[in-house]
Amino acid sequence: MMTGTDPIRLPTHRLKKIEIVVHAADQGLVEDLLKAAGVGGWTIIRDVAGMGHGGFHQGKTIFNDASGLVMFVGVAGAAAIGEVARGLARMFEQRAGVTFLSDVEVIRSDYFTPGAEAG
Amino acid sequence: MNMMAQITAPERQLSRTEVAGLVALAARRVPPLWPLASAIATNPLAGFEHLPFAEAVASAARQFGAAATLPLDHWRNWLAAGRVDQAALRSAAVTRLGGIYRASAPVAAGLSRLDLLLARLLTMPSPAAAPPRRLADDAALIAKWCAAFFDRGQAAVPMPHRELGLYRAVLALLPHDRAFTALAGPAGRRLLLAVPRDPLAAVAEGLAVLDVPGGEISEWLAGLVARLPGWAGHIRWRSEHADPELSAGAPATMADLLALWLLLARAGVLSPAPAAPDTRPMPAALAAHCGLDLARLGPDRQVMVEEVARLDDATLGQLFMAAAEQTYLEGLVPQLERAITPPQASRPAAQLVFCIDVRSEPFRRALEAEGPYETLGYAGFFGLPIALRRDGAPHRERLLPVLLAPQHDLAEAPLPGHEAQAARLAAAQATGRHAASLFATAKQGPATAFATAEATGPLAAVLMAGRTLAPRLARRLQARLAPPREEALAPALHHHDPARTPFSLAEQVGYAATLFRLTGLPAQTARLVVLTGHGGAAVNNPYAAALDCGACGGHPGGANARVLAAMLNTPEVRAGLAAQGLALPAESWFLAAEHNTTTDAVTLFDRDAVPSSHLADLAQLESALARAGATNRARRARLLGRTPDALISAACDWAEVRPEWGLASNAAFVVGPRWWSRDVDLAGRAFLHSYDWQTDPDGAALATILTAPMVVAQWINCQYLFSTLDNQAYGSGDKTTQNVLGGIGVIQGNGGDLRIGLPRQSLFDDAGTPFHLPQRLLTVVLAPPDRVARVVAASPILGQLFGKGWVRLVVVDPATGQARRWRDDSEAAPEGTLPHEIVWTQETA
Amino acid sequence: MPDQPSPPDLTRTLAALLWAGAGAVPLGGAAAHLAGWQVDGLGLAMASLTLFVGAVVASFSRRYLRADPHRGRYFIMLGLLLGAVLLTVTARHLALFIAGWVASGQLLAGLIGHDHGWPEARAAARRARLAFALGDAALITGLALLAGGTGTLQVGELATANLPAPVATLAALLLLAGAAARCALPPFAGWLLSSMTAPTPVSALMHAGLVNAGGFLLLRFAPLFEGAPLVRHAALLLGLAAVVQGHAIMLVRPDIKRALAGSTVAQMGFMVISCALGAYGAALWHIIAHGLFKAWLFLGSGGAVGVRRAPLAVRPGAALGSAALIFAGALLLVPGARAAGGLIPLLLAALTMLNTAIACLAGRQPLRVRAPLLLGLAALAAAQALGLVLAGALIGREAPPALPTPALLVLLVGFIATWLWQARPGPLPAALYVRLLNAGTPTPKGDA
Repeated sequence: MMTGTDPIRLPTHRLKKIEIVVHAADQGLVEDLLKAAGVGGWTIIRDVAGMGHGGFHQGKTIFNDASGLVMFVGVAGAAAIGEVARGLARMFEQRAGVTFLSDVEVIRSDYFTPGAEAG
Repeated sequence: MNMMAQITAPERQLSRTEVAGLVALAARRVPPLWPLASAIATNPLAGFEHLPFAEAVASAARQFGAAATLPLDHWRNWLAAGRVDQAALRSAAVTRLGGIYRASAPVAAGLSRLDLLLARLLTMPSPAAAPPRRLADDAALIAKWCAAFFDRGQAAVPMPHRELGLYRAVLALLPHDRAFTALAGPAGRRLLLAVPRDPLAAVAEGLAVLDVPGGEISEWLAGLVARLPGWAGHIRWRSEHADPELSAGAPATMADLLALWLLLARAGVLSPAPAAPDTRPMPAALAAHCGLDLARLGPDRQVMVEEVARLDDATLGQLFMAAAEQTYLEGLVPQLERAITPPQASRPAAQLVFCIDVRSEPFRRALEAEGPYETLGYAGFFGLPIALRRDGAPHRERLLPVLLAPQHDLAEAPLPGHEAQAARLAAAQATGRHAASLFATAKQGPATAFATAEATGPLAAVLMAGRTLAPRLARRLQARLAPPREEALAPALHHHDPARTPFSLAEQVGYAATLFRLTGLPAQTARLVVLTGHGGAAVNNPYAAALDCGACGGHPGGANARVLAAMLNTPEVRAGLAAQGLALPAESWFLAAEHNTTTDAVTLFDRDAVPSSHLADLAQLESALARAGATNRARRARLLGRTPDALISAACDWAEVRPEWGLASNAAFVVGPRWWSRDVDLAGRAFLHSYDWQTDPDGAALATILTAPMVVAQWINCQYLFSTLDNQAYGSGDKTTQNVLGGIGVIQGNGGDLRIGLPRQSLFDDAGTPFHLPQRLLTVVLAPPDRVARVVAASPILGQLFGKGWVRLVVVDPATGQARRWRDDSEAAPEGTLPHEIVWTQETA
Repeated sequence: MPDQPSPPDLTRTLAALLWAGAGAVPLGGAAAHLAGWQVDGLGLAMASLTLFVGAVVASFSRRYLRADPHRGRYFIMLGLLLGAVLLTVTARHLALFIAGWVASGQLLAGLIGHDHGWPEARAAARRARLAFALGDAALITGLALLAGGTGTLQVGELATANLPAPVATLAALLLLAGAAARCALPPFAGWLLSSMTAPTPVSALMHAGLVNAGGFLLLRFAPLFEGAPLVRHAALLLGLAAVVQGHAIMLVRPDIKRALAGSTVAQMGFMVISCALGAYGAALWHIIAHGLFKAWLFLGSGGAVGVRRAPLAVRPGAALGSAALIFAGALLLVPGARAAGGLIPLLLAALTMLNTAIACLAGRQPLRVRAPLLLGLAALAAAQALGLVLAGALIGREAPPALPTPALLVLLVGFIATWLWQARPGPLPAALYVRLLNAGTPTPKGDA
């Protein structure tokens, strides 16, 4: 894990961010992956709508949590995020979804590195 | 992608994360299985819903070793009885053969391809239902350990090491298990020491050692999941739908189960996957049956015979099912086409909102005949995503469809003025719990068990005789032990601690408004509006909860009705509704009720709070409800072959295996205003959701109705369909040999998988004939076709259900009254139409 | 149902006859006794139990098996089975006794395999047949020995025959084997534990003079056993083994029906212990009351969904206190007791009542919660006492104690010690747990 300096002169830590958009019905699949990779926490944005290969995807309907799309945002070390990406690549052979990976810098690295990852 | 290249290690063994993804995918092969105390209907073929229906049935039959059709004799009987139309069957057969030209091609003089197929459908002997199979030794071993591990409170001494998780706990015990040694031998015992302790790592290593090709892994794992659909489904329920406290101290994931399977696979003792026998006749036999000698036909004619002989049972069953569905559609849809003219609006004396459940429909019709009462259909949880902790209960009940997670936690509180009753109830319940605890303790102590049996024997004799000879008296006496719960307690809308108030005012207004928005209930409500939940009544019956409201998570729906009624009577909520343009008349009073679907009695809640100005209306309504109940009871008694009075006994008789028919015979989901279906006898076969297309210009309400209540209806429809089709594989078999396991479900006899689906008695009549005719759900919507098309196109869920033929959709155009059927993916699109566009295929012609 | 053919009416007749019998037999027996006639108390009690449970089961089954494809055959076998049991318990002639005994076993096995399209049910029926065949062979050999030695075929005379000790011991041992097979004592427990393929009412019916017929046999031939003290000791040991095994199986079973079956094994062990100790009245009362108790639990086993086991109410302090009191009472009573054999059942009954009463009193619940329970407990205790007295009167005989007083006290201490251990249950050792779990799980292929 690298430590850099930033314009506002706080020590920051370089980590990876992964964003995953899947059908809400597949939310559990992604959660299982994140847990297995040791990603300690993530954010879920429900009720995502958008345009894609399959046409327009409507948002969640009020009585069905499994309708619509959800987006996961997770931040962790490169190894863990790489693991997630590999697992997702397998999953997307059968399920629809998109993933974005990017570099991010965070201030509190301990916040994003659970016990399994630390050290 | 650069990054991917860096981190992908060139190793054969998959990483834990990759395995986690594959395991999660494999888990989708079976649906979650809810404990019977809150039984939820699911489609046993949920893992195949991405396939076209016919293909799914055939694939699942291979996967689960199940039948792909009911024995044809049942279908032939329905054909003879007119429930399947001859012409519809013929038409389905012609379509299957590729059109009238191919179908009528002669095979021999006076004998066409169609005649050959009809011979197979109608006269050739067909195999009977397969007897129950014995579980293979490997599956029996895993099922035994799952039973011990997942037990919730039956065994006094729980399985050791449960805190380690299923896989590790079983690994710790297997060295002592002679059944394992007998199965896997010394090599298996050595393997126990060598395999990884982490289930994901164990699966990864197992896959590498067994050299399962990368592309086949998830299918191979799914095949293992499918070997014990009950326990796999239970694990899915625990991981995805249960409150964490219910699995505390005994964690288990699908990876645990698969790691056990891989252990057996590595030991080389995996039994061959179940194989469905090939029941197709030899071409020569078919020819002989039709009076032909195959050898004397020309080669091209032989091919024709062979083509028909090679059709499997699944195909024949599908033809009958399609014909049955068409027969039903042709009986129903033209009536609805004719009924599109709204009647003169007049203000009813009362409006009653019922659950969409098929059992509501005949009751509603009976009630409408009793006076100026308007009825509506709405999901039985009344739009409230709540969980309720009942007084004295250890856990909360999720009173909402399983598609949703609870948003509000409620508790019960004494009703104002009934505090003394509530205290008496609490005391009686405490006495009951204390007695149960003392009895359980005394019963299982080595020094006390014997005298306990002796001392309780005489009491047991009295109770047995009473419950057997006079069940109604026994029930009445039992009821006198404590005051009625609903008179003493109610789910509390408020909490003395404001921070824990379950609903904000805005949320209450929102839930109240949703009732109007989805059902099209106009703001000019009647003097009385009754929100009527429902529940069944059964004693000593593991499947009692299957008779309750599925929209309330397999619980009676009264609590939800009470909460929404209380909201709607709150002045602040009324004001909030008025601000949204829903100004309700001040004189409207909302009441909650519960329809007992076993006895057809309706209990009205919180009558004390009804203003005295409404008491006369209430009295009239009550007498109308009683009369409607009697009418419906008489109707249901005919279907059950009993007297109406016997239904009331059945609700409290401990020997009763079929207190009511439940949702058997369900066939349709009708979305539209009640006046549209009011004059059509839907015979208790239709889910009815009220909907007014005129108040839903953007289709949002329709989207909600189709993606939630209709999905639940489809699960129910598929559960009944497949439990009937093969009651051993997809149902739970004979009720009389079931054995309740761990408080969560049933097994058959001495062991085996946790059983899924419904028991035989819920689907077949006393003579063994299916009461439930297996057919797919027919959804009929009264709305502009383009709006429906838009809603369907925007929802992948609906695209799959309608496109793959799991549900058939018919849209009736309110402007013209013309019905159009949604074409599924397999049907050729007529020229000039888009693939999914709704077309009216003129099948009736 | 007017469109149904005759079978339902026949089942109604069967049930009505059984109910009438269940009422008439005990009343008739009492009247006969008052009229000064000689009444076979044991046979009367057994016949009453059989008729009552049979009546409940027949009425229950008329509804419960309404959709059974082989309903007719079920009721015919049910009727024959009850007839065979009644024949057994009332027979005076040896041939009738044997005929009833053998027939009831085979008919029971048939009902275990009622769903004969189901391989597992057929296997369970085979298992029961085999166990009964072994037991019946032993029993018939033993009875033949007795008949050969005395030259009579009257059951009553056979039981009291004066035979050379080796012959009597051998015959008694063979009879014990016959009883053990029927009672599912080790090593015969397998047939009962794998009999859950039977429709629920059959499991209830077993407790009406079938699984407990072994106790009846020991009581019927009590004089024979009194003349063979070695066999009484063997029976005692066998009973103890069954108590330990059955009880432990019950504790680990995750399914309701086999937990009940494990409990039956333990209860049958206790019944045999009572017989061996010479506590005939207590044994007869146990047969009757436990038969009713277990039939009730089996018939109601469908209600076990969603029921969580109530937390243990054993308070080690209360348990220790009541145990000490009982033990002190035993020390006082034993030397002066005339029939020390009945002491163990009696003391355990007192212990149970005392401990339950203490647990009830010591509960944190308010008095309005506990008061009805104490009243109920008192009523149960009274019924228990009455039952013991009545059963003692029906049997009308006592036996010299099989064990010296100190040994009785040791036995009592054993029961109490295991109970106290269980009051603070720890996890079982893994090996033991697995063995117990498998004891209640039929091996995939194995039989017997």
